[in-house]
Amino acid sequence: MLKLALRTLPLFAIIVGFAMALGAYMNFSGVRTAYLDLIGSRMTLVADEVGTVVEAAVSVGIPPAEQVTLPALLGRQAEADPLILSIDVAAPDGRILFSSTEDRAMQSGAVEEPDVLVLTRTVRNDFDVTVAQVQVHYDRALPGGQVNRFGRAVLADALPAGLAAVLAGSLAAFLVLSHLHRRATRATDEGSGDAIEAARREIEAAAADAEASNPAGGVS
Amino acid sequence: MKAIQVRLSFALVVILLAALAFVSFRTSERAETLILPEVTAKAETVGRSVAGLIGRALEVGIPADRLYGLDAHLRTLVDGNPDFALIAISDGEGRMLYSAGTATATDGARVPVPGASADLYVEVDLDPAYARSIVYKLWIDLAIVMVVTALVALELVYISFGVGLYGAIEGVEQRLHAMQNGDLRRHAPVEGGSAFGTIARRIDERLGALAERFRSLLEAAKAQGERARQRALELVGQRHRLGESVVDAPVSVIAIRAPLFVFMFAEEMTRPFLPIYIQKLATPIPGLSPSVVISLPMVVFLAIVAIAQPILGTVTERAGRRRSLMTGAALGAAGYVATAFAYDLVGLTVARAVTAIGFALVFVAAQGFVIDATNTAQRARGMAVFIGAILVAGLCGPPIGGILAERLGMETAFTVAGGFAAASLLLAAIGLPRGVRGRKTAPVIGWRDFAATFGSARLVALLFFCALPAKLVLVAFGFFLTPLHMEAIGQDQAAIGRLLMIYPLAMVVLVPAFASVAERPELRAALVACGGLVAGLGGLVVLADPGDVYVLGVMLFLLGLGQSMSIASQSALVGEFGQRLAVNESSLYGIFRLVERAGNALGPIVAGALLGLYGFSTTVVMIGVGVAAGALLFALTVAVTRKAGDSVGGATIEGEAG
Repeated sequence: MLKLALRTLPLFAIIVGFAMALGAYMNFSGVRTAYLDLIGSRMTLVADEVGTVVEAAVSVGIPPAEQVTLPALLGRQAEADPLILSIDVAAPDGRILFSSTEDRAMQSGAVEEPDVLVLTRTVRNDFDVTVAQVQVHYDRALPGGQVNRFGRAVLADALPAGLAAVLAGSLAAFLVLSHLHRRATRATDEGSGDAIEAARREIEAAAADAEASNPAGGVS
Repeated sequence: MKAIQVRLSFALVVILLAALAFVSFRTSERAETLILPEVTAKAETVGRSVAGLIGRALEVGIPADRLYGLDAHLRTLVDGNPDFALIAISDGEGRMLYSAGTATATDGARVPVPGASADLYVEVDLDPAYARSIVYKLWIDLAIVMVVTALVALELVYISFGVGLYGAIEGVEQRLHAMQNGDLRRHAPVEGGSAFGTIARRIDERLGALAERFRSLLEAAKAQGERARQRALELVGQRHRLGESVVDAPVSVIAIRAPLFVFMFAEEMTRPFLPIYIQKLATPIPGLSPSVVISLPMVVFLAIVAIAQPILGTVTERAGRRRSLMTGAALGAAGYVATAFAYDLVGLTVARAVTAIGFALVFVAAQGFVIDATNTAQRARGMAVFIGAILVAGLCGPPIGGILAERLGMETAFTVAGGFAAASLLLAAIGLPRGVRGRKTAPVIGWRDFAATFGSARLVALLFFCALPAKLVLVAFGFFLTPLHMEAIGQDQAAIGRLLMIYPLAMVVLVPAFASVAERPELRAALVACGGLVAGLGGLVVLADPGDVYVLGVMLFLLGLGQSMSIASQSALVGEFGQRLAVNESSLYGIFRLVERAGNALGPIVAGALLGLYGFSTTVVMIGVGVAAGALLFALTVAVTRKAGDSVGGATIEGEAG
């Protein structure tokens, strides 16, 4: 039985372990997505606020590069959320026209920054031509840290639950299989009184009864 | 499924669900503490943003009671953010000077306006229903995760059985079950290397000895002319079915499940992100709308599958199913990896074409393998193994593929799909028996078969008003429009994958129920027509709110409901309507499948063309109404031909046959 357990249980342990790992990861992934979506929607709200103002000015003939009051607006909006590092209004070629952070203004283009996420909102004129882009740069480290902490917490829950499930699953599989093994072992025993033995007795009895009732062996 | 599998699966699923429910409950609790403060944080952001705007107005000298247009601005904010119930500007005594929305008891934020001479605040009330909906959505997601996980576990149990030790366990259980019912037939031998294999062999020896004893007594009775003894023995023999052999579904059929499931899983996991990936690589083609361009690689894939399948039946038969399946899996693996590295639309289309040939080869070889390894009595069970693998892959693939694409990127997800296709090759190499000779399975369809089939008004109506639109709408809604639209409304691939599960889930649950209703011939035409109406008119729900994911979920569920109603009846009606035609059944079903596959191939191109012209909602409504109209035309055709048939007796049908 030990040999059987050693051969069968690893499979069930792997199946249950894999399923638990998959389930826990998908749980984590779903919540992570929901959390990051909410942060994204906050940043979208800010980008929309700026974008609407730029579009309104463009619609009355002021090109983005000449909207000199924008830095003040960008500064106010950047202060609205502690996660925001800077808000830029860039030309379609990527050149930054205005920024909430002074030293970024008139830079030639976006530079990849580690630990910074960028949400971009396109500004179009009445002819549906892109005239500018509002770029909200926000901190990746803070939400990233939250997600990591959450991931560790899910892992802390999933590990013992997974181990318990692996043990319980293996035990259940072992009980089912050992029950079958016991029944099957009995069925190999000639003296078990099972269906095979009963049928054998029936055959012998049928042969003997017929012989007894008709000893001449003729047609009855 | 055998009883031992049922017991083991049940035990594992109960334990898994309990453990996952615990993890999900804890996750949900933690998620609330992570997510709900973000809703408040957003209220604070908007509060500070509005406060800054008002502060600037006050700074340039506009009095607080003359901020014209502020109500409209607040209204825009409330309307654009379902999480906010009210945004108001109030004074120190709580009087609202400007406001939009309705006050609730759920305070979100209260931000003072900078530079105001008197106390002035921006107040944001949250909509409690929104916070609740986040938690509900989370729970729905967690429930889906539990279902997917349990299905994956069940599939692994299923795959494990039928081969090696588990084949022996299953064999022993089958013998005990038969003995318990007094059935003492002989069984096909199982592998004897394990403890269960030894037990099975011993039981077989006992059954063999019994059968031998029975045979010798019976022969002796016959030889001696002892008819009474002979009859008595025969009665016992009949009762216990002595001397007979059990017709099992051969173990080799189960061997196809693992490679087939793994390969189909590879294809299914690309569903949520394939159109988005194509969109990313697509470049404008003069004269074609962007959405038609996006549909092209999908059309090429489905057209190759449609055209190749009838041809490949003979090819795989000659080359051998195992070798064909392995070749298909290799082509699939190469195709997925090439897709991951494609840098333009042409390269992507070529990569998808290679994948399509691989897909068609695997599909046809697997189907042929089942047919080769089963006789007529075993065929239904063999095909259940085949269909089961495809359905479970369809359920588990999209959500897992979506998560992989979301976390690792679409290119990596395609490479992983290639890995799964390669794993399918390995499983086929290890698990499939060599040298199983193919039997002729592919019907050769001639022009006369087409002429005879298309000469029947009812068959034409069934094929072109129901079967073709059913596949068209499935590919259009499920594989093309939904992923693209969800991407457009800001949903990630993981969410797309979870939503795409709804259709196969509805099918798995509902098809058996409607299949049993379809056993009543008089209801079949009605089921097909109603199914078309439900699937088609289900598209109209997008008119409620095309931006709501739940509306899209309802649309996919109604698609699944409609298809479940019609799928079994459609197949049955093909045979029924073609009964008296001068075309054999195999060719008739061959034509039916060909028309269905044509519907598959038309799906993306029709959806792409309409999407470019009219946008998502109108496209869905137009296709849906088209499908519903097809169902009505079918119902009308059946009613008219039935009436004509009633009035002229068999003449109409005889006429059709001629």
